[in-house]
Amino acid sequence: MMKAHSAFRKMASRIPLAFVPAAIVLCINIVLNPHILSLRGINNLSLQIVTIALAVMAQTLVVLVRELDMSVGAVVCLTTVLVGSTMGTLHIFSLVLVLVIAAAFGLFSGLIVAYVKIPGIVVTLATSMIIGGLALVIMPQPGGTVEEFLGRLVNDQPLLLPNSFLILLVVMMVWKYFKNTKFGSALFAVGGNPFSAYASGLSVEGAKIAAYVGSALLAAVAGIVVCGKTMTGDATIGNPYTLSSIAGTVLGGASFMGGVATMKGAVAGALIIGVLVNILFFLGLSSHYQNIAEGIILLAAVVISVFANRDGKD
Amino acid sequence: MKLADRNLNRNSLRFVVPYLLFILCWLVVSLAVHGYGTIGHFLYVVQFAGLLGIVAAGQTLVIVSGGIDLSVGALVTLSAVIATQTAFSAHLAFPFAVLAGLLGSVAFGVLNGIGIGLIRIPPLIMTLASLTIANGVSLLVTNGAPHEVRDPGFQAWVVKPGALGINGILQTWILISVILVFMMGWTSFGKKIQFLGSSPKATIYAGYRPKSLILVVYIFSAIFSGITGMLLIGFTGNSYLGMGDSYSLISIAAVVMGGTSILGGSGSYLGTIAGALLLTLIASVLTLFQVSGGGQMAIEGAILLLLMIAYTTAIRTRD
Repeated sequence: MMKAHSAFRKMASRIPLAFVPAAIVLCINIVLNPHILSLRGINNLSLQIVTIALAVMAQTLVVLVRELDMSVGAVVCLTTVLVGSTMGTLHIFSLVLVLVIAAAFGLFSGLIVAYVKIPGIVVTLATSMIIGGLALVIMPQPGGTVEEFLGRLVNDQPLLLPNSFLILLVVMMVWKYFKNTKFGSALFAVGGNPFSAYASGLSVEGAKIAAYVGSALLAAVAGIVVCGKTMTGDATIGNPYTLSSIAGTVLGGASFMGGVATMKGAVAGALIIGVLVNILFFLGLSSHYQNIAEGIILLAAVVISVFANRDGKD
Repeated sequence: MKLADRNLNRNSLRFVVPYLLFILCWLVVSLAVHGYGTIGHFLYVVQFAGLLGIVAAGQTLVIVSGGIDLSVGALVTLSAVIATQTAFSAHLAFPFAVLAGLLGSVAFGVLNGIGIGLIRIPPLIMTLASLTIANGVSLLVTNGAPHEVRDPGFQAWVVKPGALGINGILQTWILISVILVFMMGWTSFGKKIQFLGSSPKATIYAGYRPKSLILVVYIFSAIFSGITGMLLIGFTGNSYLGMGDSYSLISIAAVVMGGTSILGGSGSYLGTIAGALLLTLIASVLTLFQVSGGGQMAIEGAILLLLMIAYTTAIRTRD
């Protein structure tokens, strides 16, 4: 009996706390709109949440090393624009090109943050202007061609589970592997306490650079999924993702002091945001309220996390 | 204390650099481009710099105190939208409409101050949230439609040259500049926010109240955004969604360009004035060469980044 109890506790402790509110909002959504449980409903929900989840994971990676990435949305914009404008000639290789370019921008931000030692917030504020501006230069109006295969890759669900969900699963698996490597644990160590990480021979600079490169790559994957959803390139479609990514990271239980974050929590945070937006829409609130709602969700999440951390410390 | 001393000493000369840069750029532009470099062109640049400079005044206070305010652009839009909407639908006299616009902006300043000062939410996240909420409120107020301003007296004051050949925008900017330079350089409030920016903990031990200081700083920032919003509707004659959006990032660029440390603790409004002039000059040249909005954004981002790197490295090598 005792054994079973502790086994249950061990299992429960592995599930981030953020899944509790996520489950609650999901239940509310199901009660309001049972159609969400149909195959099509699940696919739509998955499509909606996976892009946010990838953006939140991108942000979480950077928050883990005590920085912030304000360029998540801009990278999503640039990705859709680049896919839209190069897919006609490069076909599937345009996805590779996009990932390489995103990684290069992540490396650029990371190098400046790590070696010039300017706070990542303001560095990425500037790089987001550069990246977003470039996207607008390449494609002032939405357009471009996206091939059919990307749309099928993102939107279909041949295995009962939506493809978009499988993409998220693959990314999670890559993270699970990476987390346990020497480099992955360095991210946690550097975020937790940069001085002791430095003293024990870890490269603080390397960890920060890796976090920014990883963040840009994840944002680019989010952009590719967005592209498959909308089938066009659009230089402004990604802008809301910066805000959602920060809100989701906070909701997912990551600490802005670094060192504490889980990717499962990030997914739960994204689930909360996506489903809440769904509920608002279903309640018939006009889309005019969406901005206000998202701002309030972010604020509520931060206030809760600030008070939770304060209780822990005092 | 020693650090604060050094910061204060360093301030005294750093703001000269952007002025020299501005004069250099001015000479290059007036030699290279026909029609540039005249008094008329100078006044044109200065009045646009004024709109930016007033927003950047609040941003300077915020950044010197160790924070950052991303919501200024949204507050410019919000105040403009509220003012025109109340004048339009509630048939209020124009001064009341202006008051309503400023109050709307100040409400968000109070919200920012409470969130950052009292609840201790990181400034970037707090102002990002209020930016989003303010944008939502603007959308609700206008329903997405632009509105005209119908107050010829106010519009004429803003645009037409009045006393000493300068228009309302410049009169306001000069007034605010004098107040701000005095406030930051010669009052205890100015010293306190510099201390707050270099070490919040030391501020508490020194017996100041950081919470109320932070509240005041963000309210100032909101008021200045509101004032720019009012001048902007007087200048363009109407209000529309997103009209102030670009000010958020550009005001930060102007502050950084003026030699204020992005890390807080040191800076001056004199530098920000030069930063606003320089950025406006660059924008006018880019517009002349028909660089698109996206291109301008990318170039401004690159300038902001280069300046941050240059200033931060310069400080580090000097220490």
